[in-house]
Amino acid sequence: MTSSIFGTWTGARALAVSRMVVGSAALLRAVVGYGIVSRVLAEGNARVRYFEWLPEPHATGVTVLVVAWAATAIGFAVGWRTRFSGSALAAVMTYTMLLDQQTYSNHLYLLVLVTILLVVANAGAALSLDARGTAEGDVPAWPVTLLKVQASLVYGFAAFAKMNLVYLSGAVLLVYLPREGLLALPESLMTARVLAPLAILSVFAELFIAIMIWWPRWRFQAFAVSLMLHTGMVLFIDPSDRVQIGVFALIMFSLLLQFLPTARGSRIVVWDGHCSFCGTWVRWLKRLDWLGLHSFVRSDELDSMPLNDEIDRDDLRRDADRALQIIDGATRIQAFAAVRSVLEHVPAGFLWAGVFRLWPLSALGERVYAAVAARRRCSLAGR
Amino acid sequence: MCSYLGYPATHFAFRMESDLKPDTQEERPLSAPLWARVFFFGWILVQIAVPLWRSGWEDHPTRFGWEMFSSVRFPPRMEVERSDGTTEVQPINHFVGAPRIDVDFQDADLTAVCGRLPDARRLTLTVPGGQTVLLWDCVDR
Repeated sequence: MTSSIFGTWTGARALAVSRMVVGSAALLRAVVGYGIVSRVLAEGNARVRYFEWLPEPHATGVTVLVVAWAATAIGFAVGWRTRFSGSALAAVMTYTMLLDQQTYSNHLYLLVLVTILLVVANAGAALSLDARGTAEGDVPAWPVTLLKVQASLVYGFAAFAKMNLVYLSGAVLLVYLPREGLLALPESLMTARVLAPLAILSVFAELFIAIMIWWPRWRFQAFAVSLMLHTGMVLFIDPSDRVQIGVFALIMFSLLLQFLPTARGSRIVVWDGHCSFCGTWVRWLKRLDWLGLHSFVRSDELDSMPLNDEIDRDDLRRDADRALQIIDGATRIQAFAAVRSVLEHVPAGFLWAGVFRLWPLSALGERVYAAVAARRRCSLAGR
Repeated sequence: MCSYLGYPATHFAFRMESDLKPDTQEERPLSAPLWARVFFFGWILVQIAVPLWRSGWEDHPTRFGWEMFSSVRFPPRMEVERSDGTTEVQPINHFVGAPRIDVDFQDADLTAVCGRLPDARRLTLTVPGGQTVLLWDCVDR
């Protein structure tokens, strides 16, 4: 087992996208952090220190601290001296978190942990200022495994912590759900009969994500559940906490991204090269393919490419004239499932595209695809 | 010499045969140093041990345990005993910069609060059940 963990390399692009997301989230959190630290350190307020010996910044010091926080977050996001800026960012956030119990937050703690792991993983190896002008290399896979484990542990322990009577009764939802505003639930629904099943469902959702992200068959459904869970939290929890809950969601999504495959060009997308309409769609899919997982090949260029022996070229060419095809090793996916599969493997779509595996969305998607494919037959425009 | 996809031909042939191994880019041997192994297992151990340790904490939700929105904890009640012997209840949230549900007020330093209440002799923090979590003497400090 250890050789499969420590003996492999992986592509650096998913890490790079996570680095950008985490850097941006840290920048956003720096803005919020300025207000929190200033209020906690304001004269006349109670303090709940961890360490009496830890020096505290004065008013100007808080500004310097937050400017350093923001600057290192930007440096980390763009990949400027990534290991230095990431280490400095983690240090600034750790210092802030340890100033007082009131400056703690779960997402700040998670930001620190994920930043450290991204530094160790060499997240500046691709899509960064550091990597400008150099060939894109690979990075050891074991820190990526740690990022994945971290995602599972956060969801798993979050579910575990909610297995108590107070939460399962719906009482916590009753406290946190908004009573006013557009998203307020009617009072008639604020009952244990409604809130308790919702609470139980949320625990199952977190457990589902924690476990199923490790199973390729269920991974994309787990991503979709995660998107729904975090969107629900952002929308329905106290608006004053929205930015911080949003930051938490961004960090979790950056961890989930690590579950996508990383082998560049390993998924071959074959499309009808005689159809300009298809060409337009393929251009869009190429733009979204930030991880570079796909190789896009026109159906009339199939002869020149090596394929797995199990793939029948004639079948493939004939089918490619009818619908989009994806070859992933010996597996062939086509039509709507192929479009969905591409979207599941790009950063802009991996969280939500999995819902199209579920009926009736899957059936609807197939129908729409078939209708569009039939219509594009009428608009063949040649090469 | 490169194949169609820009990988060395041998590598590409290998990838085509290794059907369900898409998660790894390269299978060339990597010898991870000892520190990497120690870091890997140490990280996982700490990330499991800390939330487990915090789950045994008296009050929930607690920090460092991924216990967000898992329970409800009400802030303590602060009773101010004045130098003339009278007492009054003040909302604690008026005296904390960033009210949080997971703060352990038994560890609080209320020196600055005493400064804001010049005639205060003693501050008492009690949790809703009535249990005193902190007695803070303003005069003798």
